[in-house]
Amino acid sequence: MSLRARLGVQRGHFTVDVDLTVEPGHTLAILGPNGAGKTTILHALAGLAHLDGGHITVDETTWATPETDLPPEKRSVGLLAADHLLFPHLSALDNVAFGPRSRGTRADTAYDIARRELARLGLADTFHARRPHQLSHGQAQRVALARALATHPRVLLLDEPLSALDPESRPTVRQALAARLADFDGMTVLVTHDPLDALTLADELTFVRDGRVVQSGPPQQIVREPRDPYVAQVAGLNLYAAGPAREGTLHLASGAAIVTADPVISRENWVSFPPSAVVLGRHRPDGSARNTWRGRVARVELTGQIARVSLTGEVDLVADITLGSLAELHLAAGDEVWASVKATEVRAYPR
Amino acid sequence: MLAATDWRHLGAHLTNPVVVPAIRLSLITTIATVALCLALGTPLAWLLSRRDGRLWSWIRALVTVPVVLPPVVGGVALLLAYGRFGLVGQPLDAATGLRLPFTPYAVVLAQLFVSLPFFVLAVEGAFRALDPRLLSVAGTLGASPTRVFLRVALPMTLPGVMSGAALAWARALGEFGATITFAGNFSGRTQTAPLAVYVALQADPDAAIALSLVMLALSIAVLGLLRGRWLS
Repeated sequence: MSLRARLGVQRGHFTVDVDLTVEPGHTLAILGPNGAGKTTILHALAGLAHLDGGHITVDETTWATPETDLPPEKRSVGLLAADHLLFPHLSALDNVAFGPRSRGTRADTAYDIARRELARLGLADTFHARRPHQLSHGQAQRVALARALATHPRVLLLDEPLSALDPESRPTVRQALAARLADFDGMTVLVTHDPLDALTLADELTFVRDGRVVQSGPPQQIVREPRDPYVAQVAGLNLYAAGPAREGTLHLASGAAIVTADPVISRENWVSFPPSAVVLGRHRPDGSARNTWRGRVARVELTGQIARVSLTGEVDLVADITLGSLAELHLAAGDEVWASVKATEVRAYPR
Repeated sequence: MLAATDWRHLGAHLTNPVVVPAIRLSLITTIATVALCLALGTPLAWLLSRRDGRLWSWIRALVTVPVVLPPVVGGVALLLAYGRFGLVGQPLDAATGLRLPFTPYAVVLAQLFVSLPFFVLAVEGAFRALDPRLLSVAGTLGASPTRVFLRVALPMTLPGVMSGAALAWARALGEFGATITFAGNFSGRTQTAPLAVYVALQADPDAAIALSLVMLALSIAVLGLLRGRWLS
């Protein structure tokens, strides 16, 4: 009882080839940059794209192989896209009842289901008669989620479900979605490029790039040990490929040395440290930090109360410093600085 | 035309024994034509909008031919096809004894021949303008292709279908060449309003003007009705 798929889809010169497994009641988030093949994956699962290789198996039933293709209406799926895609000529209630009615449920039962689904997403009776254009974005998206769930799908597909919402309604819908997914017993596949969606909604993450899986696993593991530059960027870590260690010192591809307190046994390693662990200074530091590199400021950006400084030099890195430090150091692009990181902040793990 | 109208004798002209049957025939046949356009043309337009490929471009080309064909040539083609020795006419006669040319059915067929392409092209455009993602979503919700057509595509394109129907109706109301060639010009039987206008213009110009006035009023009324409800 699960979703197991190996999806091979050819789109011109672009090939998607990924393995997915989702257990009942679990949510798998697929992350990746634009054009990584995320939406193609969902379309293949929904039956909107033909499989050129592999298979889709749900609860021991084969949905698709290159030879056989169950049409979308024969698959037990619910699809929610960034745009709510509600039928504009139907009321909210009619929209939600559309699925059960299409699957042959009697009218009164279908409307009971629709009312229940809307209520579970916090939409009161006053919304039932409204047409999509009379709903706010957030309300419309919740109606669309209710519609996707009203057929009791085994597989729920969420395609950037929060990306089109304004910043005010996004947290409300995210919370409603999280609460609803918590008591959804089917398999959910969430496509997103927002790490917050992935970390708050998913039990498993899969990162894709150029149609391939680059890393997958539970969120806490991925955030701790990224194995791909894009994953590291999402996890907010500086990541480097390194060779073997000698007395705690590893050498990066650039030739720079980095010292870690982690025990290292592998010949090929990843080394990472958080931007917040970097201390910047105008002069060579003489503190306890074992790692000190000289660099040049490439860019300074403000995100909230933190300044993010990108450095190029012996080791390219980003550093998060407080506004106070920024003011004290008086940094601007092109300035020479020293960066230091304690060995205890540097994590090393096999590549 | 309004200036040339003989308003004092308008009533008399309108109750003329030729005018009344012609208007009645035009109304009945054009309504039948629009009904057939809706029944046949809507599914055809849907299929054309959803299918691509060589076969369907050929079908589209075939449907479009009457747009560029002179109506008289269409009438000749219909006469040859449905005539007593025609490709369709002969088996139809043998099977049912039905002979279409020079009957009111021929009037409808001639009007359908010239107006269906206008209807299909207009409605296909409306279907193509639909967001295809809405149709995909309907599919994932379990709707069969027929249900997607009936419950999603059709209600959403109703204004387009209605304006297509208005276009087809206007084209059918004005139909002359194919009708006179294929159905003839028998008063009370196949003489539609445009044919009656043409005949009356030679014998009784005032009656022709009166009849034209009625057609003008009808057309404006239909346009006004649709404008308020569907067109904007």
